[in-house]
Amino acid sequence: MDPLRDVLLERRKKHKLFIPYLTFGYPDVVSFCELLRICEEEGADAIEVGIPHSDPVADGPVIQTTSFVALKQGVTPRTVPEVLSRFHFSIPLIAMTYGNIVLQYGVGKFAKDYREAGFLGLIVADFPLEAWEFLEGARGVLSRVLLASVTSPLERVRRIAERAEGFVYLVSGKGVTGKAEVDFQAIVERVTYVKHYVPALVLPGFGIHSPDQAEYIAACTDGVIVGSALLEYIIEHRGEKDFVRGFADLIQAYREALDRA
Amino acid sequence: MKKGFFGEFGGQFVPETLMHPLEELEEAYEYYRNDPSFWMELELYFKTYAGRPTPLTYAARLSEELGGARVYLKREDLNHTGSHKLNNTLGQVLLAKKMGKKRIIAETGAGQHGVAAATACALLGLSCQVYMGAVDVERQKLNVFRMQILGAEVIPVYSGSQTLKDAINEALRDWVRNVDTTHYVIGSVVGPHPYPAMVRDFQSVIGREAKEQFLEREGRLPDYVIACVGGGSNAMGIFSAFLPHKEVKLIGVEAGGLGLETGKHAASIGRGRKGVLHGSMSFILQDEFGQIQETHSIAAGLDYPGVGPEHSFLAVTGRAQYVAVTDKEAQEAFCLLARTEGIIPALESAHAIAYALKIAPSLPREATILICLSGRGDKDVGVVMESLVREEK
Repeated sequence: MDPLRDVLLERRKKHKLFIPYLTFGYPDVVSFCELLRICEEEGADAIEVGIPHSDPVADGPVIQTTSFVALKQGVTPRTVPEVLSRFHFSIPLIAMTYGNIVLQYGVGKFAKDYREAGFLGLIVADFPLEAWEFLEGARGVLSRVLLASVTSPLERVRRIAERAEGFVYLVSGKGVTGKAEVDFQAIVERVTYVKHYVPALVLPGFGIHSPDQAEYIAACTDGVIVGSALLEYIIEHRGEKDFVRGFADLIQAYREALDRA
Repeated sequence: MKKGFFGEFGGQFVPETLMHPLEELEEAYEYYRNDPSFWMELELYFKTYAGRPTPLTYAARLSEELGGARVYLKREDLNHTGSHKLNNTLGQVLLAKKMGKKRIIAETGAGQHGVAAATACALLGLSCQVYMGAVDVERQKLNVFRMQILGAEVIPVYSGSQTLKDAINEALRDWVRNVDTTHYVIGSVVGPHPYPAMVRDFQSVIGREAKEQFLEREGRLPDYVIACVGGGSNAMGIFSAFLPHKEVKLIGVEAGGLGLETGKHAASIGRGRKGVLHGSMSFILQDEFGQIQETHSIAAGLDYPGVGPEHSFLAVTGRAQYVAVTDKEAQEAFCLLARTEGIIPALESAHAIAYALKIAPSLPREATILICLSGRGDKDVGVVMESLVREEK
């Protein structure tokens, strides 16, 4: 059972996939929910929702900032399903967080509560393939996405792809979110190798910061994930008169870029 | 047992980008661990550079004053740079050099590990950058300057609580970016496999020496071995030699801060729950949602919300016992040792002494206690002075 993969494969028939990432509760819970709606309306295929953690080791300054702001406002891993279960989205939500958050919530309970709130997938930034068994409690409820990296040897990427549910999240360069320098050659090499053996969807993320770059990368992948670049826009422009329109335009620009890819 | 686990603790909980460098490190360590010439080279540095073996001192006047068990001190304060930290940095930097790495990064809280890393890098000719929480940079200015004199660059960390745990976060982020050129020298028996085992092995020289010296002196093993535990590297170092000898009681002393009941402490085993921090499963101080909590200790080197996974394992299996003493008790032990033995201990080590003061009087004269005096206290004189002045007011 792989609920996220089914939905994404269906949408992939139409076009390359665009998955934006937003930190839950940034800049505040109400605005966050509005921004989710805009992503849905402007053509995102799924939305990654970051569940803030006090010690986000895989994240660069942008997601660190948005996470700390959300935590300061009292956001907890329980707030997320409480709030989002009041909405209905036509596209799947994917939880992205750190292992300790899920472990302390209880893996089975986390999967159940989040599934009921519209989530189909779970990404744990600090749980590599070797930690897979710790997510056993989510099996069949949330698709457990695994990360591969441009530093992962090819044979390892293949083993990751064989196990991953939903899609393979390919970390597109060395470094943290928003700061990684995209290594196009390494991406192409890994996507080609994986696709030869496994019918997995492969989506790169980390460091993708413009529609043009997204289009370029998506030419050889199933789409892209964009996070810090969107949050940077929100950090810089929130409070301005045309903020919402501008955000919608930005999402639309990524959508169009991926439709060209 | 699964690879890299001590029972249910340990493991490798890191972003995928670090899995390949960890595997490389594991392979390299496995290779050199079995290479006698590597250990000969390291031991030569221990002997001719660090000043090892460090002595075992019988604390005659302290023992007399306590009127019970006889107390011995393993003098890591006499190791070069003033603490046990150099044992590990010499080992890791030598290993990194053999792996062809050009650059070393490290984290530091109070600055002891940072100074030891900068020292090993100066000795072996590698570049060194040390991440240090901005709060710690401010309160440990002298150690910052020491590192700079040694040729290291100190990078203040402004994220999170701006202390040790955030310095580790930032060092991990740096490593993710620079995996090809850089080795990350973790300063304690924490982090993902192979660090907890590797750092223990480099620190095990403390236990090997102490056991031999103690046998020579007393003709038998000590009844108690006591060491302070933050991350727990000096404790693992001295415990390791005595683990097979079940009759030797091992006691780790955590930072009780203002008292466990106040919540302002750093007793990860005493008050923590199992969870994941900095790459391994262990006892950590966290809230009900899994967010890491801020800690407090008068000893900066113990002020950390996690503990090495092997300690968690020793705690749940009962092989070692973990207790806590307060800031105040540590400070009293600090002063007592100075007065009775002419040794000013690090505030971290003073925690181990403080617990020995509690149990020694009720033990018979034949009983013996071996304490790991992990570092010297020059760095803490200012802190203790301020604290005593506050009390007088």
